[in-house]
Formats: sequence, structure tokens, C-alpha cells
Amino acid sequence: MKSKEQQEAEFQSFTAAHRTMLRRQAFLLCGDWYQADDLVQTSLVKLFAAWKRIEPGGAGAYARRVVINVFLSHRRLAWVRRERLSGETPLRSVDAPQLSVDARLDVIGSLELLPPRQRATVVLRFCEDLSVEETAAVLGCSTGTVKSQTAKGLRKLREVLQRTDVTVSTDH
Amino acid sequence: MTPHDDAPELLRRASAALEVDDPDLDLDAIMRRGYRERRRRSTVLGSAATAGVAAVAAVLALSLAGPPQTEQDPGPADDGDGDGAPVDAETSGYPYVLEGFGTDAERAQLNDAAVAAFGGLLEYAGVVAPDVEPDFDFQPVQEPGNYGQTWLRLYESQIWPEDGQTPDDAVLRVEAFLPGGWTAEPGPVTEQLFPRHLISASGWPWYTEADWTDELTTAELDDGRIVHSANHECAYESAVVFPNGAGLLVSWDMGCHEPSPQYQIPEEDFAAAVESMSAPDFDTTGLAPVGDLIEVPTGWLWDPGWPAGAADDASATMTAAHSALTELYLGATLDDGSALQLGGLEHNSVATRVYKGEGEYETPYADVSFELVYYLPGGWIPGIAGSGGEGPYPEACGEAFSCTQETNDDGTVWAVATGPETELPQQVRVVRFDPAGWAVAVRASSDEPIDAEALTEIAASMPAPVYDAAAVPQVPTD
Repeated sequence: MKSKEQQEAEFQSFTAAHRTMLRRQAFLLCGDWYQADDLVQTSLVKLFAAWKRIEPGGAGAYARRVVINVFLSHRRLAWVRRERLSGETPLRSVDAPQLSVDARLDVIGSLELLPPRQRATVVLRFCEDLSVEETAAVLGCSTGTVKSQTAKGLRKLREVLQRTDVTVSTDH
Repeated sequence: MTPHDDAPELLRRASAALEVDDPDLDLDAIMRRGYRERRRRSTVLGSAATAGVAAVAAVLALSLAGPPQTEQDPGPADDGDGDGAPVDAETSGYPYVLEGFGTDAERAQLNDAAVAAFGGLLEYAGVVAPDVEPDFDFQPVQEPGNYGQTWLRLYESQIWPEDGQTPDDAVLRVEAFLPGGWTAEPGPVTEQLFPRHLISASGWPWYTEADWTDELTTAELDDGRIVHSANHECAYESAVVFPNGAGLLVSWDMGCHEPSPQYQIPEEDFAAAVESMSAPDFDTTGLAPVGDLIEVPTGWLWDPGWPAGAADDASATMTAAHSALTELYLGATLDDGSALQLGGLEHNSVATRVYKGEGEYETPYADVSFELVYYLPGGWIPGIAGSGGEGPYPEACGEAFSCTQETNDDGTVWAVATGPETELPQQVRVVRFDPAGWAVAVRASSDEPIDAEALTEIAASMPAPVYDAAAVPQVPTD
């Protein structure tokens, strides 16, 4: 069994390597940087609480799953806080030449219009590039559910984006 | 190319282009909270297992009233550490009280408040006749928290129309929760979770596959009340959390099980009625922190279709058990048995799945009647509860019984409950908790003294039950 010092050192090392990835995932899920920080912090607490039970090498996937679970279980409170803090949300920093800044904000922002499980599914599938099977494993549901949630989510996204001016250049 | 043609690619590019700063994290604080979480989840069972003790001979001497009773709570509850800090109600609960809880005064107060809040609406919708005051008849209910480690207390009332007959026909349902064991945060409403959630976005019990997330709204009123509301189209649902820690869950079913709504009301009228109900003033004597939560394998939700589906497995189990029994007692009988669920009979209740059969065997001294009960895995841990059913154990020590428990080298836990010899028929129960996760209990009664060793021999000879070991209980996500 690992000593307390070993566990803490491993956890610190893991956090240093994955903190940015987790914050990014959390932001894509909730659409708010403050909320994202809350999600990451809560998830890391849960992750550390379970650290001694986590398989070596599996911490990344486990952390991703914890962030999703925390997001889904706290979405109501998140909604309340987002309502209050919307005026204070810092500007999102984006940089992709092939998309205008407004367009990228529209795309990311449109995720917020999806119900939480659809949003989580779409984020895992297309922003995290997970397969249907991997997404099902993270969400703890069947592959059929992933497919139906993906289809519903994309349909809604298309409806939203159709109403905007977003265009994508194919030049890279 | 337009985004509606290739939304996935657009998402990939936009998310890849997202610049993310490192989050500002206080790792020391995170690890401190992580350690607290670990302590909270530390388990009595886990401690024993980790210690790796062979042949633990833990003997429980459970008295008449089960675990030691605490004195009546002296005034305002504190968290037990002597610093006078208030109880964290979410992770607190009440002892189970055999004779129930509450007073007529509390029920009358609730009834008056409910009549004042909903009387007009019930009349307007035609649920009750004009000038007839609805009788809410609130009943006290104790529900298990963390599989019986503690208990939640609430008052429950339902109003049916005159021609209503089944639970589905209820139009108005009001549940008033005493502080303790539940959280104001919406989430899956299931006894599998502790603390419990009052309201969810799922639409249960009106829908099975709905995603009502968008319809669940939260508002904080000027007086500090928090109101979560969901519009399920054919039903409205609201949870109110009062500043005094009490909670209210109200639903109005306009006719979800009918072809068209029968008792339709405007949503704003429902909301106004809910918000007009005054705060219940409950006696929270006995409310105490749960302490370290005992880790219990996730339990099964009550499923009305399960007994019929499991009937063949139950019968096969009893057939095999009968065969083993006749090796010990030639001529012993055991019926086909049945599959039963022990626990609440609501969609969010946890129920223990059992196969139960009855039989008889003959000794040189007497005929012994017995029940054979197989406990399938889920929602319990090995052990024997106090006489009131306290704790997440499948068997309870009977009143005036003496109960012992011990663990073999192979991990099998044995519990024996012996009734008073002065009472006839004498009762003895022996429970074998198999390391594979199931348990079998032999409950015998006879007018002659019963040999507990003989029951132990029977329990030891019983085969594993027939069940789908790959099926595991799921906790709803909405």
C-alpha cells in the first residue's frame, strides 16, 4: 500500500499534468470559467479521495469521468450560479484563424443550449474525440444511448447554428 | 461549408482553438478535503477487511432494544463534537422509532396549512366538491437513509378525486420533510443515495425516458425559501426548502395516465398555492449526525415486474435447496418458494431481493417448521440489525432475542439469533453470509428446544441461489 507521502506526490504530479485538460473539459461542459474552476476543484477532491483505489495509468480517464459526474450532479446549482455571474464571466480567449472569434464563441456557446447529458455526450464525442464505446464507458450508459444523445444534440446544434452567421473556411 | 452541414467538425475546431489558462488550484486544500471525504466514506466493514484478521470472532450482544439508545436529545442539536455547532442536517438523521413519531398537533398544523394553500385549487379543478374541505390526513413516514443506517422523517398526504381508486389516480400529493437526511439540491430521487434529493429533472413517476432538465427551474424567494419547480406537461412538481430547514414536495397530476388532462390548472396557480403554504414547525428531537457512513453495495430499486421474472430462479433455488436438505433430513419438505422484494413499494424505494420458501423437518424430538430465505446481493452488508431493524443488515435481532455474529477464515459470516427459551414456540434464526455476496437464512420455530447447531448445518449445506450475478443495481442519473 502506498504511503500518504507517495499518494500526495503522485496526485500533485497528476494534477500538474492534467489541470489544463480538466479545466478545458469542464468549461466545454458548463460554458463558464468560474463554474469550470469549481467543477475541477470538486472533481479533484473526489479524485484524491479515491486515489488509492485508482489503477495506475487509469487516473486520466477516471478524472474525466469524475468531472462529467460532478457536472451532471451539480448542474442545477451551476445553473443558478451562472445566472448570477453571467455579467462577470471573463472573455474567452480563442485563436483559430479558420474561424472568426464570434463564430467560435457561437459554436462553444451553442453547447449551453443542450440538456446536460446531451452536452456531455457531444463534448466527449467531438471535443474530446472519444469513440462511441469510450463515451458510453465514461457516461456509464449504453452505446445506443450515446448514439441517440449524439443525434439529438447535433440536431439541436445544427438548428442553432443555422440561425447564426457562422461559416467555416476549409483553408488551413 | 455551413455549420449545419458539419457541426461535429466545427465543434472540433472551436474546442481545439480554445485557449485555456492553468486553473488556480490550492492543492493542499484539495487534498485536505479529499482526506475528509475518505474519512466520511471509511467503513466499519472496510476496516475489518483491511485488517486481514483471520477468524474474527466478533460477538455482538444485541440487547432487547438493539444498539445502545441515546438519551433524548437535549434541546438544539449540535454536531456531537461538543462545540455547540449546529448539526449539518443533510448528513444527519433520526433513530428508527417503532411506535412512529410526531404529534397530533404537528399533523393538525400541516392539515390547516395544506387546506389553506390547496383547498381552493382542489375545488376549482373539481377534485373535491364545492364547500367540502379536503382531508389531508397527513401520516408520518420513516424512510431509510443509507440503507437503514439512519432514518428520514416526513409526513405524507394524497388527495384523490371521488372516483379515484389506485395510487395513480391521486391528483395532489404533499410530502413535508423534517430537517435531516436530504439535500436541497435537485438530483435523482432515490433511496440509493444519501443524503436524498427531494426533486429531480427526470419526470418520474410520470415518465420513464424523459429529460426534463430544461424544465426544472430554481428560484430564491425574498424570505429565503428556495423553490425548485418542474413542469412535466401533464403534472407539476415543486420542492420548497424553508429557512428553518424543513422541506416540502408537492405534485399535481392533471391526468398523466388518462388520454387527456382531467384536473387541469394553470401552472402559475399551482406555483402560487405551493408558495402560500406556510413553513411547518417540526420537532426535530433526535436529529443527530450520521458520522462515518457505512459503505453499502448499491441496492435495488423496487421493481413491480421483478418477482414474476425471478419466479423460475426462485423455484430452481428451492428445488436445489430441498435436495440438499433431504441429504440431512430424509423426508424434509420445502415448497417452491417465491421471489419477494422487502422494503418500500414505491418507484424510488430500495428493496432487498429475496427468495423465500417454507418447509418442515423432523428430529427425534420434534417437528421443526422453518422458513428458508435467500438474500440476493444489493443494498445490505453482512450482519444482524437491532430489533428495530437499525442498520443496513438484512436480518434483525428479534425483541428479547440474543444475537451473536462471527466470521470464518474463508470470509463467511455467521449470525445467530435465539429467542427466549421461556417463550413458545421457540425461535432460532441462523444466517450464513457467503463471501460471494449472497446470504441464506434458516428461521425455525418449534414447541421443543431448537438446536442452533442443526440449523447451522442446514444453512452450511445450502447451495448458491440461482440469479443473474452479472446484473447490478443502477442509480438513476436524473
